[in-house]
Amino acid sequence: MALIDLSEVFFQYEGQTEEDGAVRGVSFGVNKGEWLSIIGHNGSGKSTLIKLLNGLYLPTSGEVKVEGISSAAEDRIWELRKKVGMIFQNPDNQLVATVVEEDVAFGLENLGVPPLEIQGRVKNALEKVRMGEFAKHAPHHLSGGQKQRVAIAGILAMEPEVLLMDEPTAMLDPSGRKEVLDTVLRLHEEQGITVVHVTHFMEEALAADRVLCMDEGKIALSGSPREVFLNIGGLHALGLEVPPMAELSLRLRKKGLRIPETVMSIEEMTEALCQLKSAI
Amino acid sequence: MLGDITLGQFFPGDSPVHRVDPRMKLLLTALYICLTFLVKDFIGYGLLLALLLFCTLLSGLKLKFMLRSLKPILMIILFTFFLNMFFAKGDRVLFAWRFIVITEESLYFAAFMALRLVFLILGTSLLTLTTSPIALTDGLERVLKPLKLVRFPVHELSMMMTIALRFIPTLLEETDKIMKAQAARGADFDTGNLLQRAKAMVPLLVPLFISAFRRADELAIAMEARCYRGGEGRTRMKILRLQAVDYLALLLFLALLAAELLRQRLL
Amino acid sequence: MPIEVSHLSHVYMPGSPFSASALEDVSLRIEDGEFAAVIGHTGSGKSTLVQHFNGLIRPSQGKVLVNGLELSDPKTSLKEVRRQVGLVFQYPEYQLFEESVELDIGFGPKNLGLPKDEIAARVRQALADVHLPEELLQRSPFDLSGGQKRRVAIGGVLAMEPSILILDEPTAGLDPRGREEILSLIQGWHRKGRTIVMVSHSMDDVSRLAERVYVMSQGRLAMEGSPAEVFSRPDELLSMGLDLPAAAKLRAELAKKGFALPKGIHRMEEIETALLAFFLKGGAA
Repeated sequence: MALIDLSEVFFQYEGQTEEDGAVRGVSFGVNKGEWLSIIGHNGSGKSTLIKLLNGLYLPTSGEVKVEGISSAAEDRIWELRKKVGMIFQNPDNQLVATVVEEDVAFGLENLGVPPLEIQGRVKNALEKVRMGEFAKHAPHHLSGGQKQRVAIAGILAMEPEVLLMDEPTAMLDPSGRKEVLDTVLRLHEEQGITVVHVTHFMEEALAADRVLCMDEGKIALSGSPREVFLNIGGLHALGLEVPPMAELSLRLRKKGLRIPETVMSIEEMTEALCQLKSAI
Repeated sequence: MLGDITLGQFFPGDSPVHRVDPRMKLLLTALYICLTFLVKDFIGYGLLLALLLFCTLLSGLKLKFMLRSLKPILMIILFTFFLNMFFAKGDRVLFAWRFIVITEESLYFAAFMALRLVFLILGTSLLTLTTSPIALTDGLERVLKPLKLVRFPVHELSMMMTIALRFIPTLLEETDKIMKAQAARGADFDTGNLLQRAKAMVPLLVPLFISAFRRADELAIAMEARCYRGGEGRTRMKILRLQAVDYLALLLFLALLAAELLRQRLL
Repeated sequence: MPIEVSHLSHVYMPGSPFSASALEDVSLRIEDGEFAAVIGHTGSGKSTLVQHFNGLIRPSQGKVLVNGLELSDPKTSLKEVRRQVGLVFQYPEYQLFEESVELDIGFGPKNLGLPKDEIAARVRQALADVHLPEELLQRSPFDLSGGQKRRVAIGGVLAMEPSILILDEPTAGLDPRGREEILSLIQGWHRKGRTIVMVSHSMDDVSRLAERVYVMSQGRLAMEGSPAEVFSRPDELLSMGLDLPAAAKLRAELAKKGFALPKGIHRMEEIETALLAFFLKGGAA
C-alpha cells in the first residue's frame, strides 16, 4: 500500500468552481522510499497539491490518506503532520527561533518530547544536514542554503515518514540550490527517506524516481524522469523546459546524426558523441 | 547593513555573570531594584556601587559599555536632578532669585534621586548586557509561569517575543532594501519639512507592512506544519537547573540586602 | 556616454568590528549601448558594484564616471544620476506600494518633478514597454500575478526613461515561462539602444544575451571579456564557484575526452553547428 494516497482530489480556493479550481480530480500514490518530483509552471496547481498532503489544505472533495489516516480527520491531524514534514520556499519565513538549535528543537517541543531526548535528536539532525558547527548561530547570519538545511534538520528531528518540499530552492543562488539538493539526495539515498518535491527547475527533477507534471490542476504527464523529459513535444505543449541535451540530441537526430533517443544529460551526450566520432 | 545591528545590547561572553541562570538573574535584578529604593544615604549607594563594580569586573565587560547605557536617558536624569533641585523644600538656602530657591536639602535630595535613576539603569543594563535576549525571554516565561493560573498568556507572550527577536534583523534588512529601491526611483527620505518627510515614508512603510504580513502568514503555516498548537503539552529543549554560581550570587545579594537593612536599623 | 569605473574600493561599516571589504580596486568600462553581464558568487561584490552606478553608494575610494557625471563629487546631483541610470533590484515587486498600477509606475516620474501629462504619457509608454495591457492601469498592483507584478515594478524604473538600465537578478524566483518573458523584454530594450547591465546567476542567460561579461570574485574584477572568452576558461570559473552554460560544459567534457571543438563555443546553436560541421562535412573541426 502507498504511504500517501490521493483519490479524486479536488480543491478550490474561495470563488473558484470545480472547473477552474486549483486542483481538479487528482489521484496518485506516494510509495515508501520513493522520490517524487512534481513540476509545472506557476499557477498549475503544484503548490496547492503539496499542501494537501499534510492537511494544511483540506480537499473540497475526494480524500488524502497518509498511512490510512485521512487528512480530514480533525482529531488525528497532529499525528498526520508528524508523519509528513514540510519545507517551504522562503528560507526566512519558516525559522522560528533566534538560535539554530532552538529552531531545530521547535517541532519536538511541540510534540512534547522530553528535554534530554530533544537535545540528542537535535544534535543528530544537525549532523545529518552537516550543520552541527552552526548549532549556536543566529539564523539570520546564515546563507539561504544553510537556512534551508536548518529547516530540513527541524523536520528530520521529528522523524517523519515523508519529507515534503515546496520549491525549496526557488529563492537560492546556484550554489545554495546545489547544497540543498545534495543534502536531500544524500538523506534519500542513505536513510531511505521518502521525498515529495515541488519544483520548476527541470534539472532538479532529473534526480527523482518519478515525475508528475501538473497543468491546470490536473496531472498532464507522469512517469520516470526519462519518460517525461524525453517527451519533448508534450513538454513544449505545457510550456515547460526541456533538458538542453535532450533538445540538442533531437536537433542533431533530425539532421541525420545517430544520437540515441535516450540522451538527457551532458555525460550521456558526451559519451554518445565520442562513440559516434570513433565510428568515423 | 542595518541587519548587523544586534538588538538590545547583549555582549556575548562566558563569565560567571553570563552563566547565572536567567531566572535567577531576573530575581536578582528585582532584589537589586528593591535595594536601590531601600537605600537612604550615600553610604548605601557606596555599597551598591561596590556591588555593581564587582559584577562588572567579574563579567569582563568594559566600564565604557556600562556607562554608554546611560547616554539615551541622560536628559531624563538631568531633568530629574534640576526638577528636584528647584522644587524640593528645605531651610538652608544656598541661592535665591525670584521664585527659584536652591537649598542644601534640595541639592542633596536632587543628587540622591538622580543617582537612584543612574543605579537603576546601570543594574538593568548589566542584566541585558550579559543575558542573550533569547535566554531572557526563556527566563521570563518560566518566572511568570505561575501567572498562568490567573489566565495570563505567559506562553503566548514569550512566543511573540521570540518571533519578534527572530524577525527584527530580517525586517531591518528589508527596510534597507526597500529604501534603496525607492531611492533608485528618485524617492527622497532626507529633505523637506516634517510633513513632507512623513509623507515620504509611505513608499517605504506600505511595502514593509505588506511584507511583514506575508511573512507572518507564511510563518504561521510553517509553524502549524511543525505541529505547533499553543503552549499546551509543550516541552522545552533547554533544562534550566540552578547551579552553584546561582546560589552564590543569591547569597551575595541577600547578604548585601541584610547588611544594608541592619546598618539602617543601627543608625 | 559610458560607465567608467577606476580603482574603486568599498569597505562596509569601516572602523567597526563588522568591517568587511566589499570591493577592491575595481576598474572597468561599459560602453554605450552595450549589453553587459556581471556574474559572480553571492558575496562577490557584484551588487555593491552596480549600486555605485546610480549613486546609491557613493564611491569612498576611486572614481565612478557615468554619462560624464562624476559620482564621487558631492556636488553631483543624485537625482540627475538616477534619472539617467535605472536600477531594478532583485524581487522588485516588493517595492510596489501605490493603490493603482498607474500611480505606482508614475512614482518615479513624479519624483523627477515632471508635469502631469508628461507623467501620464510616460506611464503608458512604460506599460507598453513591459507588454502589459492598458486595462491594468487602474488595477491595484497587489491583485496581479507574480510575473505581472514584476513587470509593473520594472515599468516603474523604465518610466524614468534611463539611458542605462541595471537589473539585479531580474528573473529570480520566476518559472521558465516568466523567465523567458522577462529576458525577451530586456533583449528588446537593448535593441532599441539602451545600455543594459544585468547581474545574473544564470550562465545560460548570460551566454545567450550578453556582449561583454564581467566576473567578480571576492570583491575584485577577476575576469572580463566577451562571453566566448570568459566561458572558454572553465577551470577558473569553477574555482570561483561559478558554473558554465550547458553548451560550454558539453564542449569542456568533450575536450577532456580528446574531442576538440572550436574554442569559445558557449551557445547551443554554436555547438550544434560545430557538431554538424564535424560529422556531416567530414571532420572540418
